[in-house]
Amino acid sequence: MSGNITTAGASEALAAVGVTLEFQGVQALDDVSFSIRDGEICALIGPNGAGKSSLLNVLNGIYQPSEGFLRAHGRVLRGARPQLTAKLGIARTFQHLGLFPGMTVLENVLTGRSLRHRSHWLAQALGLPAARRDEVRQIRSAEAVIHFLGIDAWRDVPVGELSYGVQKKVDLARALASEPSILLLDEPMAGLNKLDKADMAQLIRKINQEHQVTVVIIEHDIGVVMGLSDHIIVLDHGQKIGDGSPAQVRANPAVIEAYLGAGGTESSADTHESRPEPAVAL
Amino acid sequence: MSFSTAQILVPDRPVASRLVQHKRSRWIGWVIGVALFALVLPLTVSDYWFSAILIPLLILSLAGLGLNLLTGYTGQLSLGSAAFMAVGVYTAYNLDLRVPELPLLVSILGGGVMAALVALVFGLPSLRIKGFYLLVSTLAAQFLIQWVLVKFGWFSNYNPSGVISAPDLSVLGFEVETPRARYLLTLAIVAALFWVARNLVRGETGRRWMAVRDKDVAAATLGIALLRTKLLAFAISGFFLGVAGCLWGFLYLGTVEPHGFDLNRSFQILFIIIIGGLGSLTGSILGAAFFVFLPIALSNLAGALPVGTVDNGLLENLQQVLFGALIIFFLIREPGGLVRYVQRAIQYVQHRLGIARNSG
Amino acid sequence: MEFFLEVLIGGLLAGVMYSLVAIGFVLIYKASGVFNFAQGAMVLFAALTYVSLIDQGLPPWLSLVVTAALMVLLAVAVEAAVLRPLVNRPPIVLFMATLGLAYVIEGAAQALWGTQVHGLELGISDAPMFLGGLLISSFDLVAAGIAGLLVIVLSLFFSYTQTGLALRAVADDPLAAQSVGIRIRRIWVIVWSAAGLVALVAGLLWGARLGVQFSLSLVVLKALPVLIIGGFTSITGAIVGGLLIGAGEKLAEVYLGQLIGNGIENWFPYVLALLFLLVRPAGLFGQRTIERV
Repeated sequence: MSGNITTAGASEALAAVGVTLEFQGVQALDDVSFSIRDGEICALIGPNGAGKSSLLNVLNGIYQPSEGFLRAHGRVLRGARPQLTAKLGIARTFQHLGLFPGMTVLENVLTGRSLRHRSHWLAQALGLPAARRDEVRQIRSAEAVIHFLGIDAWRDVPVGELSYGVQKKVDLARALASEPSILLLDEPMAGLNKLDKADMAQLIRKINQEHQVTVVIIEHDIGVVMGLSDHIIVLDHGQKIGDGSPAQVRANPAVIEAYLGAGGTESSADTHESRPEPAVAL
Repeated sequence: MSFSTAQILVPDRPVASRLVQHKRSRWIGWVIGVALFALVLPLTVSDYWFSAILIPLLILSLAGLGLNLLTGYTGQLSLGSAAFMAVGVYTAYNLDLRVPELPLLVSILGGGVMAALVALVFGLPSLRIKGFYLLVSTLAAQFLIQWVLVKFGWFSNYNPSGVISAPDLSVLGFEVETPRARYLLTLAIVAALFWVARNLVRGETGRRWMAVRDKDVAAATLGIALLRTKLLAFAISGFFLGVAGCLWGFLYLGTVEPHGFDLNRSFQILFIIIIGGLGSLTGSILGAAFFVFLPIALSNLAGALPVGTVDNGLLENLQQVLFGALIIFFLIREPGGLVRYVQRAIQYVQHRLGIARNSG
Repeated sequence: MEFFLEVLIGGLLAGVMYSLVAIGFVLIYKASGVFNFAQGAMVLFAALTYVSLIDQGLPPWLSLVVTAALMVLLAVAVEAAVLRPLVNRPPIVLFMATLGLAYVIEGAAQALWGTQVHGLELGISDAPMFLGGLLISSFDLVAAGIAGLLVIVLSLFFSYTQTGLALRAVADDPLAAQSVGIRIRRIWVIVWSAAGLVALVAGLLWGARLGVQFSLSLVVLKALPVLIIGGFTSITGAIVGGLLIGAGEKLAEVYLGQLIGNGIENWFPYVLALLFLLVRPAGLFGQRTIERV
């Protein structure tokens, strides 16, 4: 388990300290603390209802914890809203997408460039050259991200017309367009077939390695998690029950009992059933 | 209660964000449109057409556009459009009256700016209030502004019934008196503002508006400042409506009374954009055309019947019934409005032409 | 002090009338999630029909029955032509459909019965009474009594009858209600008929007060501040909201009016509701929903 997290380590990207979250009597998170290193891929796992999405929402400022605080790049955050975390370089994808249905792929990805936009609305309104140039710049950046994810073919298609797999990539593209230092992914592989999953996993690895982006990913497929991540945090009933390398977490008896089950290769389908018996041998 | 106009724009069928996708076809469309409005019509049609059809058509398009920016693109429902139009024209009137050195266009600009500021104030509650409840803010605006304009005689230069008349109009030394001249001035102003709206809607501002409309949590995550985006929409919408009000009073009616900008008018503008197409520039024009031509079509129809079958009062009521029925019809069949029908028609024509071209 | 109390009570009683209209909204909203903008038009339609039938020579009781029957027929027509085709659409589409519906009903009512103002005689005297030393309109008292009776009847209906139970089930979860065999369409017809009958009562009372005319449908707009304060799903809230708005409006007209002139009641309820929303964005009795991301 990690040591003292009340002060930032040398290369810490993101940390939670004593985070507690309550909704009208229901406790979603209970005194959760962890630290994520710069440049690592950290997976957030746990049974349904464990509080993973809630935790992600706290990390990017959509929910405010009732107790505790966050730290991003060493800076303490209390009550920070999403707009602030965005400025600090945190971007995310959404479990139920969250694409803007009234716009095309390019336009959706361009919204990711929002913070980089330099031109004033009045300059845009009057069609001034500076505004036009800025727009062209942002379009080029967005196109680069679209190309990186291989979705150029759908550049001008309204996102409502796209297949689920492509929509997931657009969601990712939009998050990447803001050039984040920390990327939060909420079940980026949910609903994808095996091939698309492998594709997405490879993309995530590429983003992490080639662009030095710290990744925090919620994922149900344990096989993917074990193969992809450097660091795993396990939640159950709003509490942290595991925190370490994949090997450490795998051997953790509390985690085994709560989640992993026999064989340690549970796929996303199994999480809908009741909890499996504790493994005899791993 | 979740209540976003975004939900209308994403029915079961997808929405293309451009009326016509193909660049060359768009150019052709623009050229035809400009030629028609700026050259053909001014030279061919009668004064009646200018005064009773084209001018109100243009102004209502502008008003519809103003409301569309706020309601269609940004998803903020508003029933205060007419009040903002009133602010525009009464401001311009007072500027023209009390600062005679100001050119007409500057007075109109002032009217627009004042309307923008007032709309901004009534948009402030959007910080705390969402969706349907926000309606009460613009309703408050509608009733409060109407009351203020009547109560305080200063606004209408102490005219006993609160009526103001349009000043003599002259632009850059040219007298604007004839219907054709008024039409051309209206056309110039409306076209310019449509161009401005197009720039806004196509760029970052438009994207932010639509993001706030579609999924504001996602927009916030991208760093978009929600309140500032909404307030900008209120202000710009207010500006457009203010200018439309000036044109309505100065170039169309010639006189203005506060009751001409009542709640009924606000509803009419809302209906224009619902029928024409929410979140569409062209839709604003189509809706206005529908609104202007329907009563005429009905009158002609009634005129074809034996004299006395349908009297004027009955005609008006039937118009109302038909209008309401058409709104329901559109909502059931094509919530995207008239513009969607036109889109599909154009796509059909392109498809046929495309096939002809390929095989030829 | 006496004067203040008189104005207050006058306002409260006027507020009861607002509540009547608001209850019609609440009924429909509770059962189908639709904000029925056409409620005001229904009030006008009911009043106009009744009055025109009387003018044609029908005895009052028959006019009442015929009008009530017409309101039920209207409910059936609305369910078939508007609600059913739009059944899975988002709330804003339904709201706009009721906007269109309001135009249709209003236009039809006036096309059928004409646009002149009709006087409405209900046989309730408007003689002022002295109650505890205060001057009160007896008409207002009777109206308040009728409204109170209506509320009691509706509450009993919701709590103790089979249909009432089904209505609450549909309001809670339409899909679940359907899966236990409740026929949604029948429920909607019942609810819209009930709202129609409430509109009839409101129309008669308002018509007797103001005369039956077009501006009656503007009453619907005053119901919006009532609903905002009282919440959209609570009949109790509609009463409380109505009382608050009625009293507030009258007091403002009298006391603020001395300072800044008359006509305040035109905008005061909306400003009041707006200020209220700024403090409590979900209304007094309304349900708070948590946004799930």
